[in-house]
Amino acid sequence: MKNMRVPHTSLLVFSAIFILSGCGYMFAPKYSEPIYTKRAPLISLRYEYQDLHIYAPVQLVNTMPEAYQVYIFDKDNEVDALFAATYMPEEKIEVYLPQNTLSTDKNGNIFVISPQGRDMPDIKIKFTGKRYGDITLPVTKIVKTPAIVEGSVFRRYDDRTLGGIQLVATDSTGRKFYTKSRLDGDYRFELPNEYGYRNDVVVSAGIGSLFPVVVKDAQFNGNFNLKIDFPLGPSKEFVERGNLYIVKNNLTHFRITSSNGSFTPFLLAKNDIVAITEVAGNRLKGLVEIFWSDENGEMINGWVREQDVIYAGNYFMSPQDNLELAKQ
Amino acid sequence: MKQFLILPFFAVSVMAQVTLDVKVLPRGADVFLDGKKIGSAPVKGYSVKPGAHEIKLEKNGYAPATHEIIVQDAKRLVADFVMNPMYTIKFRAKEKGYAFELNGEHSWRDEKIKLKLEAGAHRLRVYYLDELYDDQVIVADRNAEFIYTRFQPEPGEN
Repeated sequence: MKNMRVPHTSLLVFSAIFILSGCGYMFAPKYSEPIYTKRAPLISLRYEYQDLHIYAPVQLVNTMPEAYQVYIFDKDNEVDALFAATYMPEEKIEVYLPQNTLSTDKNGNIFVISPQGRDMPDIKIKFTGKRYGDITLPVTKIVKTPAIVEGSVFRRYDDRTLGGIQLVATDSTGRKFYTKSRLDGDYRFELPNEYGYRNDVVVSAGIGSLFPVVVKDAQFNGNFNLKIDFPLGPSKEFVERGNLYIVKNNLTHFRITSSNGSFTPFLLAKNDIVAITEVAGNRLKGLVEIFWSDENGEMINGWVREQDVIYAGNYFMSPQDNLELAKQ
Repeated sequence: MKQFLILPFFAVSVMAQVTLDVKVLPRGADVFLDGKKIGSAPVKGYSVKPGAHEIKLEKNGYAPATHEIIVQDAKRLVADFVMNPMYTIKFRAKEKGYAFELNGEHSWRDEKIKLKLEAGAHRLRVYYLDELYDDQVIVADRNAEFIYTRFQPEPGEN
């Protein structure tokens, strides 16, 4: 029993398959060589190209061009630009080109920035190209003389200088520039040079304080240095006419009599000052001061409701510059 | 002074390199570039200079393929290939006197023979006693057997 060997099952299965399936070709000759159709294999070629990215940082000092015309030339052909585009001042000057567009010779390309505006010469930067990748050009600095508005902010009552007063210069497009008066009352705006040729700037002083806001035109007309002082608050004469109250809200009626519905020659604005001279119930009679110029003004009589004003005490006459109060 | 004159002057030209990827169906085919094996498919990140090159692919069970490519100056070139498979085709003649001719260049008179055929269309001409008996295009798309006889097969007969 020990020497008895049973054929393996898989061997039996293999033998059966071999016999039953086409063993007739076992002795058939093979053709000597493979036979090809000689057709090309299916092929697809995909190229990936890289961008050239050029960044030209521009630093503006006291200038604001309307736009930039940007060109890229090969150094041997400054007529036909490889690239031309317009950029707005708020945009980064970035150029994307296809791979292999630039010359890879040393300084073989010229980047031209042509700021649009008065007295703006072209800026030319020679640079070496590469096949693809990032190129950052040196910073282009455009420095111009600023258009300056400066002056002093002081209290009209006693000429005491006022520090920390917010001033805003606004042009006709709504663009704003901000500054604050220093402790000595002086302020200074350095506006872009282009404003020196413009007449559409107004400067407001006292915004955010208890002083009525004073607005003045800043007309440069080619003069690059304007001096504009801002006397804030009521005059000494006005202060002595009665107790001072501050108007709480815009569009407050200033009527000619104490009666409801009486004629309102004009409306008062928030922070306008009324010097109250008489009281009738909850109606207050007083004066408002309107200035035609820094020195010349006019006092007009009228009535306000008690609920529309708040007592200012001696804030506008205080020997101290109580800026905490001014910020309320 | 003389040593200055014989100083070599090198003009260095840096040739751009293109990254070549070769993908082949089936996987694992041997890839040759200009006669030099560069790996088994898929080949990734092989550097090649722009210009004309020859890619050759080899894989058991598939027809070898050769392709000329003009590599452009780019960052990367991805070449996808699909190789044609080879099939075993058997021919059997039930009577004597047949001669077979494939694609006008391969012929045999054996009653039984096995051939390796690339997938696709092949032109088969069959002669009986040296007279054209059949002319047709056969398509090799799997392993198959062709049986030739001049007589109609009896129903149920293969």
